Amino acid sequence: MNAAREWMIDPQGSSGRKYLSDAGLQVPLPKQVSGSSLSTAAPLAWQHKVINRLAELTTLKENWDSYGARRPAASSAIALFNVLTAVMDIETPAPSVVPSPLGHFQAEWHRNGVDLEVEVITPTKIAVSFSDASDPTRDWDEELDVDFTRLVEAIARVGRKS
Amino acid sequence: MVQTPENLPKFAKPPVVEVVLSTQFQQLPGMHIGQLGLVWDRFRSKFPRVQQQMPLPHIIERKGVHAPALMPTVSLMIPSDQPQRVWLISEDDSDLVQIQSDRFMRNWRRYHNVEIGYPSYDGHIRSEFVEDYETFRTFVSEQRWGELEVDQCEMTYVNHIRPNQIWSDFSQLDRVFKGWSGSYPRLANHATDLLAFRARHEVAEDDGNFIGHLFVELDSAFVVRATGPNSELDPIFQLQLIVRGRPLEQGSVGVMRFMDMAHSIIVKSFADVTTPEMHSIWERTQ
Repeated sequence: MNAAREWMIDPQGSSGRKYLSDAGLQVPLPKQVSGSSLSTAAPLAWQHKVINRLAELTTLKENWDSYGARRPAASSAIALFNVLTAVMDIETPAPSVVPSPLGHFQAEWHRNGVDLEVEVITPTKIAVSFSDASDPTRDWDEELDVDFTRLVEAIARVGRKS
Repeated sequence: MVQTPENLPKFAKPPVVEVVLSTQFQQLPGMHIGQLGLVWDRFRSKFPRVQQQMPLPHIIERKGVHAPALMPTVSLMIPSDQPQRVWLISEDDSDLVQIQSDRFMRNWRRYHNVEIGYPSYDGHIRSEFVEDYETFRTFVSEQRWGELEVDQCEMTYVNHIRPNQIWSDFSQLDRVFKGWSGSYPRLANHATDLLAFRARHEVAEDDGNFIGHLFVELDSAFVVRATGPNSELDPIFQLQLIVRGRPLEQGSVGVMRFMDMAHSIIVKSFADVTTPEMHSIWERTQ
């Protein structure tokens, strides 16, 4: 089976309720009953592009670079996608996604004079490098854990219309 | 400022129907379906029944992230890559352990018998979590998977607020919950028959260091009331309070410090968002 077909998209995302044992409620909660005929559940263009790229990269084998690189793990792909989902918005341009030799994934943007690289090592260990040709004093490299304030600002800079 | 247990609000008959304490950690790479069976062996005397469930996603609370309103929420799952989650269930159905390769969860619940009293955090829920989490940690250590690298902890309290002399239909939510106005009008000549409320608050240490978030979620719903051969639907409000965030330090000590903090925040918040009239019904003593 093609690896891409094994990926499942859960349009509801994480409801935060799935760990409850059983509320015993006999009528669907309002969260699952929408009066709106407008659906926003379909993945965005960048989500589609990233998902397809990750599905492709997770088919790589051990030693894919001939220098002993590890096979990219599906859990690493999910970790990268979750980070991107947290910081990107509807109009953010899709990043390039590349595998790292250690089995992780890195998202990269190179546009408008800005270079932004985000390597998700674990869900709470994210290496970020940001440089802006128009103002090198704002360049930074940092390993983030749960505070994404600077990364959100960097993503906004990448997405700004030139 | 987090309140100590001594000065927290207390209720003799709180409407709690379920409590979940959860830790989430870096995925245990060697954990497959066979190991889940071995884990059950450690718990079998307390939890003789087992069920399989779909795995849960890995969730991290972040600072500085604001999801746009129209952003579709999409999460990825790869069924072939992740072992299933298992439920280990106690004989009387009240206690539950949930395990998957990146989570350990401990539930107490009373959906099956609302006459069961809430056993209290200090009297049952905390100590049972400590005991069962330690059993799980020992198992992980014996498998030579190393220490659990916990990245998030979580506590959830689910309350079912049933109709009484204070309220009887959903449009009277203001008599129960302070986040609703009694001046909300009848629209289209009909009362409100479906309600939902969501709020999120940042949780931080005294020095401002980000920990995670408190979520307050209220929904209108119905439960079935058996009346002889027939059954009827009773309206209820389901009020959930959830605190999710990073452990406060390394190891089990950091997990339990988080749980104690989360418990204090949830109990205080529950008392703050509900009305004094309902506190009388729940027999508030402090």
